[in-house]
Amino acid sequence: MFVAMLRAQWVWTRAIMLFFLAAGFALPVLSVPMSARFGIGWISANGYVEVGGMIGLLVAITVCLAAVALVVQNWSVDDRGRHVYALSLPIARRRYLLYRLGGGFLLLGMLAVAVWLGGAVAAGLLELPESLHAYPASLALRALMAAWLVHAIGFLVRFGAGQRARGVVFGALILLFLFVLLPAETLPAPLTWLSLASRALVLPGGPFGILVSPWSFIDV
Amino acid sequence: MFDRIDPRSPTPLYAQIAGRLRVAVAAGELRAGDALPSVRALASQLRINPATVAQAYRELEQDGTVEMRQGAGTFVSCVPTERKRRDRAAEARRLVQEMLAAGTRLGIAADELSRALHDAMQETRK
Amino acid sequence: MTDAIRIRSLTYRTGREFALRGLDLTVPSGSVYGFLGPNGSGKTTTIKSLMGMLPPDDGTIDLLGHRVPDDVVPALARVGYVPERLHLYPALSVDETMRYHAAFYPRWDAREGDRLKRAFALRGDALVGRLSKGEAGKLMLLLALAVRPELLVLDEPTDGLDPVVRRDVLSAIVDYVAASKATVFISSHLVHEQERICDWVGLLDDGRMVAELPMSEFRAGVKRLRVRGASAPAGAGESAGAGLGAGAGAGAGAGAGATIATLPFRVLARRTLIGSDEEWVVRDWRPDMRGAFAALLPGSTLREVEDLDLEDSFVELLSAARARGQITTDGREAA
Repeated sequence: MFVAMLRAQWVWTRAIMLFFLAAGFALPVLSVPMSARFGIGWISANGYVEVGGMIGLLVAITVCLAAVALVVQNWSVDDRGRHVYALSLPIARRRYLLYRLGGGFLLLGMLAVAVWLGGAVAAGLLELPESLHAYPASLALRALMAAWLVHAIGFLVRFGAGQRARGVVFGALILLFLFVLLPAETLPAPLTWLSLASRALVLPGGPFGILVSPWSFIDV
Repeated sequence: MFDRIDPRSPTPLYAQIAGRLRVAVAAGELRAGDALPSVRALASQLRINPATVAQAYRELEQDGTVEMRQGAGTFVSCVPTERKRRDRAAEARRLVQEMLAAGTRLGIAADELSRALHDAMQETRK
Repeated sequence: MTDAIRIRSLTYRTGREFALRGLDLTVPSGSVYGFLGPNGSGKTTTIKSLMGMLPPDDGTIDLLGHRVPDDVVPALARVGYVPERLHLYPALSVDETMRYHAAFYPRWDAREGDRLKRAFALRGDALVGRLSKGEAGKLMLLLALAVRPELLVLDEPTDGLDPVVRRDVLSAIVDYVAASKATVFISSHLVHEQERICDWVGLLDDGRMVAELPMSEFRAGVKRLRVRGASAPAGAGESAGAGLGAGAGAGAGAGAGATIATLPFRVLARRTLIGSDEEWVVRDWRPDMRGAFAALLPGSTLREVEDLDLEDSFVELLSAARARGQITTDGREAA
């Protein structure tokens, strides 16, 4: 049953997935032309780290958007039919939801692999100074964990309640996260009200730590 | 053959089907040894409950019009000529009674109907 | 043999309105049960509750022996369901949909699925969202039949379909019944179709069952009588219909002697014809009552006993039930 559900999910999701897979692969590779603009030897270690941070942020946003997009799309496909089809099938509701969640996780896993591949390619092409290294695997793993976390939360909210209010709250949370918390934590920035607010909202060491600790692709 | 089957008629559906088949045999439309459609096929074709068709076939088997052979299907029996004559007469009587009942409802007397029938028969003879 | 469907005292509320009020319904195994009722009577709500989609506010539902909704999943594997509106995923093709559906039903018969696909002239690569109404209806039926169910639950399967598709759909249903002895539960307001294929009939109105009995008994029992010289006064009780007055109470009227209420058949409606002739629509009629009529109602003669088709019977029963509701319940709005 899981395979059948995954196969069906792929049919209505492949357009979105192909877009995100391309983005996930391309973003780390972008670090090559981005750093090349500064010229070899001219760019300082800080410059590379900045590029790495930018890439990391973009990957984070992309991956979280993908996680959200999958939740929304999965929900809307069933919602359009008022869930009649899903409810009439001989499968327990809990199992059905678990399979849907698992399907989303698998697809996001594919995305993480794309990020890792892009990172590996970029790592091969970049000419980094002695002190710096590229971390494709680390970036990909962080992307995977973050995506799964966002997907699970979104899933719980969307499929758990089915109320419009929840959807709005969910949307607001995501926007807040993408445009306030992430940039504040990822980009090396002076102590601004943004970073203060984010620190107040999120515990660095806790479950959300993976999302807000530095996403830098290039580091020491 | 069954385009006149009408669930709205007072006659039960199974009786309508059995009656129609009986008349077909009596009038020579169906001959001894001819295979009737299976219950499933006829029910599906007429879009009526299979139990109704089965009941019709059973009634026909009981009065000797057809015989059901295990595994092979339902076949028209050898019906004696006298029986066929009686069945044709019964059907004629039924048609006439229908006409008479309609006449009563509309206020046309029996002898008026009789005259009309006589005239129509003269027409067809020409 | 356990009943395929057994509903007792089912009550379902939407907001402050009662969609179903203490519904009792029994579908015997192997029957073709026609579920009739006007629009808004609660047919679809009953079916959704039966399938475990709507939790009942009160009452019990047993589907193929399983309690709904707690234990509904094993039962659903043996049920072929066709809802009122297309419920399939529009982005999948016909073939993809069949493949998806098959994964959930252990009894899926792939060969039968292909045979039906050919018989219904459905293209495998056509997207479900692009199918015409007739094709969509046929696909939903195909899926329901190919799982080789013990019970078919069909909610208005031919509504809105052109006559050609309707015939194809009905033939396929009848064909399956003949081959499998499955039980069929069809809800429809197309009474003439129901008359052909159903051997049981259940009439629903305003969330309650008005009548439930074998089709042959129903047809045999509901008659139109032509009565002359009916001197029985406008008694109350079971009578309803034009001319009987809104003033009639639930008990016998003064001087009526409860004449009408003690008759062995039930009078649904009385209408005056020409002269002293009246037309009565009755239920629970038996042939022997014809001879006994004069004794039952002295002074009146029974001139004629006419059959009613299912649609007319249905209309008369409904009118009578609604009028009864008006008379016997005070303070509540008429149905």
